[in-house]
Amino acid sequence: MAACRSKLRWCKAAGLLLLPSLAHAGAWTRELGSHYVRAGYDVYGALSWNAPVGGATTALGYQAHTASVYAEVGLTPVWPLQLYTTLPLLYSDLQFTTPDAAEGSAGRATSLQPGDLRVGLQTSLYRKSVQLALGVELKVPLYRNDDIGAAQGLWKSVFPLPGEGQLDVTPQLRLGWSGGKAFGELMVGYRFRTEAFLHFDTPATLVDGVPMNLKGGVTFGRVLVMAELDALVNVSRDPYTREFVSVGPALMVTVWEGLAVEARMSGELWVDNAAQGMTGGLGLSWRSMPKQ
Amino acid sequence: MPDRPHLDRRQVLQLGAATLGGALMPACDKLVLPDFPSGQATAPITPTASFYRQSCCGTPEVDADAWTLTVRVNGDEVAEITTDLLRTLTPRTKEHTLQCIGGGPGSQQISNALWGGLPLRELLDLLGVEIPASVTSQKWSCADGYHVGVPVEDVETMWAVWELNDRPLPAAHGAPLRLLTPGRYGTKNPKWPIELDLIDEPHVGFWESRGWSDEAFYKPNSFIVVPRDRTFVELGEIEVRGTAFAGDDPVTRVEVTTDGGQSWQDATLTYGNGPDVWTLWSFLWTPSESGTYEVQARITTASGAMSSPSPDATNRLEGYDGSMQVEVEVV
Repeated sequence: MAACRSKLRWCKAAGLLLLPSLAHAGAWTRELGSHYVRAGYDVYGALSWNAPVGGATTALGYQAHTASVYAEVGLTPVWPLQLYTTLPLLYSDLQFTTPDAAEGSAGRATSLQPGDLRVGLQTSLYRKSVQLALGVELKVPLYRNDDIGAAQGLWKSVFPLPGEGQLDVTPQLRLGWSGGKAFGELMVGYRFRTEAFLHFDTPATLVDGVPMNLKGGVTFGRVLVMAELDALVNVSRDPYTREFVSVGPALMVTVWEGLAVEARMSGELWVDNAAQGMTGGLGLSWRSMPKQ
Repeated sequence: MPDRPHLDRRQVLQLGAATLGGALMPACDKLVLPDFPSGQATAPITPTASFYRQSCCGTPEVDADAWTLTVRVNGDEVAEITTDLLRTLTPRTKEHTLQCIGGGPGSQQISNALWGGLPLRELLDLLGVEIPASVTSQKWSCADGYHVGVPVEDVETMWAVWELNDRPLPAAHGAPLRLLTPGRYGTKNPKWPIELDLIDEPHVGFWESRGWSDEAFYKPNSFIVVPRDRTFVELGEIEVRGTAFAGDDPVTRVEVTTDGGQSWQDATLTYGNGPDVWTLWSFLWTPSESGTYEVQARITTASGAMSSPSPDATNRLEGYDGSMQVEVEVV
């Protein structure tokens, strides 16, 4: 029974990986003083479960609400070096039932937690009409999976977890192109699983993976319309580590100088070891404008 | 000289990162548990509103004034039962427990009630129905599309009832009439019957054609109702309560283990009323220390039959025969 429950807990954990922020700098590494800040709110709703849900509890529905702040800033005057970070706060809401519940009755486990802090450094490798950048990102869990739901004793296992609780290091290569009012960008990385879990006593070993992002957009006056494909493919299959492919549109409307309203939607086309669902998000961003 | 502690890659990273994160915000969790069936084992007679309901196809709309139960012998009509006829009869009370063949520790679909009606044999005699020696089965057809075959011998023990707990039978429980078949799971206790055909061949019924047991004899089984699975209980004296049932084979003993089956102790039988009626039991348990415990109850019947050692059904399609187990955390 214990094994089933730990598996169930992993299902939830895998379903809760944090969502990427809308607008990274991309391949265009910022110069000294250049900055971008975004405050956003995203809602994720699970439509189905692709993970083995064992044990005595069955998930009926899952929603995650994420409030996040993302910032990036150029650090050096000589050759672009950029620091970026994102700090999310996650409210998870899992509805569940158990076999011994009254017919039609559902329970609810909710949790408010900080998510994974992501800090990255990026530098330019090539700066012409085509941009090439190399970066490295560190993911640090700010939550304590061991403590989530701990006060609820045996019911601890129904609480969704904000993330995998593991330190990750991800080198990334970004290739960008722009021409006229359009741009395109490709990111490929390698997510290195450090095997170091913070405040999470789990026997699981997660596998390395290759994150990818393909983005394209066209500007119409103050409006930037984008389409994005996001994917994470693991180097080997296991019963724990989430993999996914998602796609969706995004919109950025500049309302005043560098102030913009952002919106996006994405649907997960394929997911393994996690819930599969859709995300919708709104954000307000401020970016430094190039001097005229 | 003691060895220097060795830190591997994993530990080094953990130590470094622990200073960055992991303690920024205390856990902020909230749990609302689903509603659990309660009171089923607290009262010997289940209140009508709590009596479990199960049917193949929902509750049909049956006009009681127009309702007719046609009795046939190999297709030929021999009698008719109507609501008007029932109104002329004086029902007698039968205490009877029903359990769903598909129930288990999760759903615990078992209830006990006082039913008002007459033995089926009396009713058929009243109508002058004679059952030829060639007849082997009763084929019951119901207003909701349900149909079931019951051995003809059961006519001698079955009841036709039209009252539940001293009130007219509610629609959800088969109004205007339902059958009680001692010794057999709920599948053999049809509701809303509109036709009884006494036939020479066995009839494979709605659930039976889907793999569920055709005999549907009750299996000895126990349910633990209190405490619920995966709940906290406070250290001290804890009352464990539940049901025990084996149909027409009365329960004579209920034993409880709290140490994984190493030792079994007798529970107190708090209610029972012979065959066809559930037994309620209670067990006072005082754990010596806090921790996680598995509590299991097994039963023995008058015939010497016992519930399965496992908390799971041996064959789900033949009905639950397990000794239910719950996991509780004593704090």
